[in-house]
Amino acid sequence: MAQANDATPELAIETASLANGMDIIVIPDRRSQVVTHIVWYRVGAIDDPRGKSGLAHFFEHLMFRGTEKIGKGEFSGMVTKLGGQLNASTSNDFTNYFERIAIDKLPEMMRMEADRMQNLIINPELVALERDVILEERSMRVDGNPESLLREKMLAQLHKDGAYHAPIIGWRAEIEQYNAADVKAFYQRYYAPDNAILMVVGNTSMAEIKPLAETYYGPLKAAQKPRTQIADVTDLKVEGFATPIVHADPRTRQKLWRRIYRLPAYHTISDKAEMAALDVASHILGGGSTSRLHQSLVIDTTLSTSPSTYALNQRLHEGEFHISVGLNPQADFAAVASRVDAAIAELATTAPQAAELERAKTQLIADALFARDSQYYMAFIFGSAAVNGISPEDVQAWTGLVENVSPADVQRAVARFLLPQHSLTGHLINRGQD
Amino acid sequence: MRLKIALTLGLLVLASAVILPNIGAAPKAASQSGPPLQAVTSPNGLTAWLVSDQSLPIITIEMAWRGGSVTDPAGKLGLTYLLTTLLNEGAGDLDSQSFQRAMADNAISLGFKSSRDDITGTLRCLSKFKQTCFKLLKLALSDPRFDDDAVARMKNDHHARFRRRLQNPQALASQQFFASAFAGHPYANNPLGSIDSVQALTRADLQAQFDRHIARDNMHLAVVGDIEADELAPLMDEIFGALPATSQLPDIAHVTPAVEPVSDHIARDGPQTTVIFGFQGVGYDDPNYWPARILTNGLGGGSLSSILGDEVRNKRGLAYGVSTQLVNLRYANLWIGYVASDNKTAQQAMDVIQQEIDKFTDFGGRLRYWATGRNLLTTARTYLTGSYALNFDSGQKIANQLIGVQLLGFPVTYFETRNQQIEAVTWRQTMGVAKTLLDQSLRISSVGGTAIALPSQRP
Repeated sequence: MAQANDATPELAIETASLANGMDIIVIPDRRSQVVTHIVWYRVGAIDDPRGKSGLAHFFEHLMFRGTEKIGKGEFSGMVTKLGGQLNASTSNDFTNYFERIAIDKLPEMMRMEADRMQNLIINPELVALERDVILEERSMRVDGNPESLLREKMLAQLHKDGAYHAPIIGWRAEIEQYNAADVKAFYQRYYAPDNAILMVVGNTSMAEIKPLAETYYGPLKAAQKPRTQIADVTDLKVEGFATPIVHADPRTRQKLWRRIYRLPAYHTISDKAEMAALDVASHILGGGSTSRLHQSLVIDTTLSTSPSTYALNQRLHEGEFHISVGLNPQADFAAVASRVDAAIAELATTAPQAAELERAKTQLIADALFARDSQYYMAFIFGSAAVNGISPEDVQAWTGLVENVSPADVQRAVARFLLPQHSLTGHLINRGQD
Repeated sequence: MRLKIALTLGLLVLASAVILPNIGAAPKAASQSGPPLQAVTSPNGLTAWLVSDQSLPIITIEMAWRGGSVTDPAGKLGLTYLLTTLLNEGAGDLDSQSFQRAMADNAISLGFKSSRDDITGTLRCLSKFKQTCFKLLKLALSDPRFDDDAVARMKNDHHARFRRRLQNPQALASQQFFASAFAGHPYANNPLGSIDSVQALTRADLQAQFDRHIARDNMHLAVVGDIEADELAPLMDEIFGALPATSQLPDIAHVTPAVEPVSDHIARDGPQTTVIFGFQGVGYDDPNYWPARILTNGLGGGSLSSILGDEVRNKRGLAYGVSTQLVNLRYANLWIGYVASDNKTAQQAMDVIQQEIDKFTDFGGRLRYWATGRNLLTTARTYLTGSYALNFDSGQKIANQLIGVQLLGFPVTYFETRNQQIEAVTWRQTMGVAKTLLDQSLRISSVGGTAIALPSQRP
């Protein structure tokens, strides 16, 4: 049996809440005097207003522009001067803001983060300036990158009119339409303590953190305007699933085959063991050089060099399972597709070997332990789960679920989740190829 | 659990192709509170820097051998790169698949990389699998197989990576900058060589480069985690003791980047132009190193509050990523900047950058900068010292620091003295360095829709 975590006791994670509804999670890390301070908001690209895709991400940028107390653009400088590093990120389901800094600076970080939760300066000039920055970011990440353009096209069709169809960064034409009124409404609705989670990772405890949080975050007023409930997707069928999306781009030098499957929302899966089984299946299929796709596409044939798979299975309303395969110049897309389909069909119908099942479990459980070496990974794993209502206990229970996955569980997960009619295939080519 | 995909604010978007590991030093906080650093000597005289820490059942070993792709023989470019990709692809009686399975079955992570200057290796294992872990490492370093099928696969893997880099404007701009600035020196070569050069490499080439390169006299070791000095010392001899005593690498000449200003351009479709710019930098061994580092950080360190972050991004919205840094190679020192801006505004962005640079060198500008510039440089200095602890908050980061400082040839005491050196830097020194460092003409390498005009070509 996989026992990679038998020497590792559970992390003693503490949770609490303030009277204004702000949740608090403290994760112990006794090894250094560096602390990671993160505020997570339950808002992301799925909450972008119609016709204003990317607004959540745009707003994240504006949070660095200044408040009445913290001058224009000085947030970053103040953290820098204290020897801290900061950043922020926006995803489909959440937005977060973090600082990594010496533990004695924690109260100051709380003071600053609480200040910008409700006192941000928003005006048309700042909106116009930051809009230009975002367009440059889009150019760099997406418009200059053929692989990103393929992915964007695929997601738009895969999710059609659903919450996940638009890119997190937004469509260029819609970014150009942002205005200060939209931004203010967005801010007032979502940036409030009852829509946020405070997380601290470091050599501390709830007994120390809660009084600090009361002081700095306690006075903030709840908005009582939770995000709009979006109905969970029940029909995962993809229109036109049998016809690959082709992105022809003259800048392409490396052909790419990508398959994305829609998955049901995590919270709609009553037996979470099924999701653990899907993680194990993902590893058996595409987890590195000992995986089945590697064997089929790299060793038995020379169609590819590095197939990979991953599951986004904790998302709020629906998840995704990705398979990507870079093609060698002589390889053709049909051959790749038929080999991937064969590998999936085989795993759905035939029990995996005991050795490969154990290998997958050992690695997945070890990865969870290796993640403890990094405050930021720990924060990300527990925080991105918490914003979607998945408790630290559930996250820690995951390794136990993985250990108990049986060969039949793997088969069932593949047969249930990786259905062709729930998927879309994409081809990245140079102009005129294939 | 996998990390979810998210966009970040991108404060640290830099030209990754030209970046070396950010070698800092240990902050007071870390050295006072963290586990102590020990220099461990094996019975046969090998040394390793060790931070023994039992808080997690994980052991990390960082290895480095001086001499990287800069030592690729003429006509065999990409050899060092290909060699590093084959060092976990079969050894002893284990062929590639058996070796990979042995790693995976025991959750062992063992991989090798090459930079222009060095080969580095990382071994990470769980304590309970350590015996298998150490055995595999020993095998990988003592008897690599270079089987035909593995070599063919890693060549294909190289070609795929090479082609993907041709899709990356930053990588293209960086390589063009190096090719132009160091023409005639091995630093001008692409560390990946080319598809043709790598395709032509043979098993004999790989074995020869391995034999010349992986030795004891050019090796450094750093170990962090769940292991004590008395266990490590004999283990070092067991794993590394059979390596050849001396490496046989070519002498590489020190080089300065060409001084005449040029603007090289690669036309590429898309809305944006990516620019790498730079000139001669300052070496670690130069007394002006820390003043130059403070200056470069204040001007364009990876923060929104740097001078360029403020002038180019915050005030004008001309870019998402703009940065400057010192790039210290073993045989050359560069001062390098990066910006990506819309084709319509790329020239304007570069003009703003040039103006900000000029403020440090012309007399009137220096007077104007006396107050605001001083404040920014004070921030850079306190950041460099205060943030040092952040490089030591995980086992993997500590291992990276321990190996990086050894590669620079600094003593263990560097971790204690580094911040003192920075704190001793005066404003006057920094401005003195600015006057000469920033008075050089920029060499420019751009990729995209707009070829950047040099200042002399501007109206």
